This record gives sequence, structure tokens and C-alpha cells, in this order.
Amino acid sequence: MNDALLLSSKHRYTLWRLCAWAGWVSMLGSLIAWAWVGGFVPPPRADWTASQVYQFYAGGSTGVRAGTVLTICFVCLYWVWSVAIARLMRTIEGPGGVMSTVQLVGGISTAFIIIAAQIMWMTAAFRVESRTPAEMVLLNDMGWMFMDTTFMGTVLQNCAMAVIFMLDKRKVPLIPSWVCWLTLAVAVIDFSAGLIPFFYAGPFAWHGLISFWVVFPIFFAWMAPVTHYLLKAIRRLESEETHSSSLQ
Amino acid sequence: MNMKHTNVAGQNDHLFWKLCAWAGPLYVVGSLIGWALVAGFVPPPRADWSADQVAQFFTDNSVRIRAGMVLTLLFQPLYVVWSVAIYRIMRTMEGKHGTLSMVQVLASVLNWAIIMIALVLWMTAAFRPEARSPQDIMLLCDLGWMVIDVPIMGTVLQYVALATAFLLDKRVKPLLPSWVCWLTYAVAVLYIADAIIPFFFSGPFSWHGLVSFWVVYSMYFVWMVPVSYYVLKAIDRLKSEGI
Repeated sequence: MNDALLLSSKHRYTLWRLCAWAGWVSMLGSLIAWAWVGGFVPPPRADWTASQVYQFYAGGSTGVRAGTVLTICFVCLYWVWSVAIARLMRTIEGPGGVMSTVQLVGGISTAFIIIAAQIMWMTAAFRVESRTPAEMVLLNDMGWMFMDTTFMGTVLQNCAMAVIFMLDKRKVPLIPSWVCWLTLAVAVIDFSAGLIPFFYAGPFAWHGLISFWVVFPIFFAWMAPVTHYLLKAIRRLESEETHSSSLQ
Repeated sequence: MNMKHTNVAGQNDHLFWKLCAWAGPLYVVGSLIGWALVAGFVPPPRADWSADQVAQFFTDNSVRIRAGMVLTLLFQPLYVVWSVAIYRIMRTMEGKHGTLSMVQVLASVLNWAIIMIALVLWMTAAFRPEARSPQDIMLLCDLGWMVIDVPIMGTVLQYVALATAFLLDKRVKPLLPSWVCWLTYAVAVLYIADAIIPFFFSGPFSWHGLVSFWVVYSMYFVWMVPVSYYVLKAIDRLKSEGI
């Protein structure tokens, strides 16, 4: 596969590493933008009255708009990160493998639905004075439905990546098996997000203990070990390649 | 890159490939159960209903619509997984720099995305309908149909790319028989009927009508049956050819 590659090996690995680094930027950036600037932690509750929802968006109008715009910018980097993971998976399953593509599409899905949700909330905070409280509730509801009930793409992404990294036959696998098991556990926990249309209060409401306080922190936290070991794996493959070419 | 693959390839490779292809039939069954049976969208809420009738539909069926939409959403990504299996077959024919395979898989992502948006909009219409005005529920219902029907060009592109690549297959016995390719072109042309629903409130081209709903939606699911069958067969054939 070394034929006709115009980029030097060093450049190729640098670009790959940059894509992997997008994981850190995406994780921290969207956390700050959404939780802190947007003020979505704690989130507007499913059992709020229309006037409470109105108050949330009218009171925090500028913050919500700025936070959601920034979140969209950072979430796009999630795609880039998923490309870096797909590339690593391809070194294990070969260039013709299907699971790396499934993983990448799952990553696209995850970022896409987060963007859709931000746009709903952003619209709720846009010209608040000319909207009715009922319209605010509608837009807020839509945002949470997008964010939570479409989790299946993320589940596929996690399963595809965990399975391939587990099948890695190296003595010291590129991604440690505990990270693979964690990835599968995150996929299982994500299923609780599918219950939010049926609850207005309690742990499975969208603001609840499980569907919010467990699912969201775990999702952000999960990106940390994956990104860390992804960068380590890229370093390892680079030194293997330099080593083998210096022997020739 | 000159790195050795600690290849999963070999037996696992074809196993994953076939699993991806099986996602197609699973998608058809899951979507029909979730959307048609549980949510009760066949026959669909009509374009000529009054706001009160639409509100009535989403209020009376609130729980089953929410349950049906969540269930349907569980199966939606499988459409793309299935398209990845087809992408892989197309790449064996057109090489790793091929463009049609890429168009096919990206267009399938668009198809999946618009369906997902529509399902979420209808789910929101059925979420606390008692607190919403009939106009708001009608707005969500309309939005759902506009989203699922009008951006049909993505799906058309996927079909055209797929059929063209398989028609160019030079094997004596092609991987996808030419009748399936021509059927694919025909269905793609038919789908354009969905792009004109904003102009009709009744008749065959309204979103609940004979052509735009009954023919297009039936063909959407029926078409996947022969394609899935030959895709599964093609993977076996490619395996025996050593690809």
C-alpha cells in the first residue's frame, strides 16, 4: 500500500493524531459550551409548567443561543474523532472491513442528532418576546426527543468499535479490553434514553437521575480513555513503522 | 501505509459482512412492526384532516405512537448498516477509488436521517398532546410528512448509484440480476411522487394518497426483499471467489 503516497509518513501520522486530538477538543468544548455557557446543567425539567419553560429560555436567551452555537461547532469535531477511530479499526480489520464504516456512520449519527437538538433549543431562545409559552414547551420537548430517543446510532458506533478492538490479536492490544467493555457498558446504559417519552418525572424522565445524570456524564467521561488510548495506539503504530523501515 | 494488519479478515470478515447484510431484512420487519403496527401509521393521518381531527389522532393514540416511534427508531440505523454491506460489494467491483459506492452509502445516511427526524417530530406530537393546541399538533404532523417525503432525492441517488454499478458488472452471471437493477431505476423514478406532496391535500399525490403513500411506501419495503436476497448471495459468491 506504499505506492503513490505523496504525503510523508510523518505527515500522515500527524494528521491522524490531529483527528484523534479532536476528541479532547470536542469533549471539553461541548461540555463547557452546553453545560456552562448554555446553562443546560441542570436541564429544563420535563415536569415544568409552560411558564417555567418560558422563563428558562427568556431569562437565559443570550446564553442559550451562544451555548448552542458553540456546541454545534465542537460537536462537528466528534465526526473527525470518529474518522481517527475508523482509521485505527482498519489497521485491525483490513482495508475492506465493514465495521469501521459502521462505526463512522454511528459517529455521524451521534453528532447529527446533537446538532438537531441544539437548533430546537436555539430557536426557543430566539426572539423570545414574540413566542408563546406553549411554543417554548414544544421546541424544548422536540430538542430532548432528538437528543435522547435517537441513541441507537451511538449504540452501533460503540458496539462496532468494541468488537473490532476486542478481536485485536496482538499480545498487548491497541485498545485495552477494559476500555472495550466500558464502551459496551455505555451502549447498554444508552438504552434508558429511549424511555424518556413515557416519563414526566422520576429517574427515567429526561432530567432524571438515570436518563440525565448517569447517561450524560458517562458519555463525556467515556471519551477520555478512548481518546487517550487512541493517541497511544497511533504513537505505537508510528514507531512500529519507523522501526521496520529503518531495518530495511 | 505499510503496516501489517493483524487481520480480523478471514472468517470473521465475511461473518461481519453478512451480519451487516442481514440488517436489511431486520430493518424492514422492525420498521413495519414499530411504525405500521404499534404506532398505527397505516393508514396515515390524512392531509385533509382538520386541526381537531389531527389532534384527536395524536391524543387518542398517544402512548402507542410514542412506543411505536421509539421502537422504529431502534431499527433505523440498520438501514445504513445494510447499505455498508452493499458499499463493500460495490467496492469489490469498482475498486477502492470508486465513486458510486461512496455516493450510495452517503445517500443512505441521508435517507436514514430524514426518516429519523420525521419519527421524532411525530413522537413530539404525541408527547403531552393535552397540553398543546390542535394547531401545534397539526404543525408537528405536517413537518413530519414534509421531512420524510420531500427530501426523497437522497434515496433516489442511492438507488441510481446502486443500480448503475451493478449493471456495469461484467460477470457472465452478474451479482445483482439486471431485472433487480431495472426495478431499482423504476422505483427511483416512482419516488419523485413524494417530492410533490406540498401541493396536494387530497388525491393520489397527497401524502396519504394512492401514489405518494400506498405505492411508494409499499415499494420502499418490498424493494429491499430481492436486493437483500441477492446481496446475501453475492457475499457468499465473493467469498468463494476468494475476495
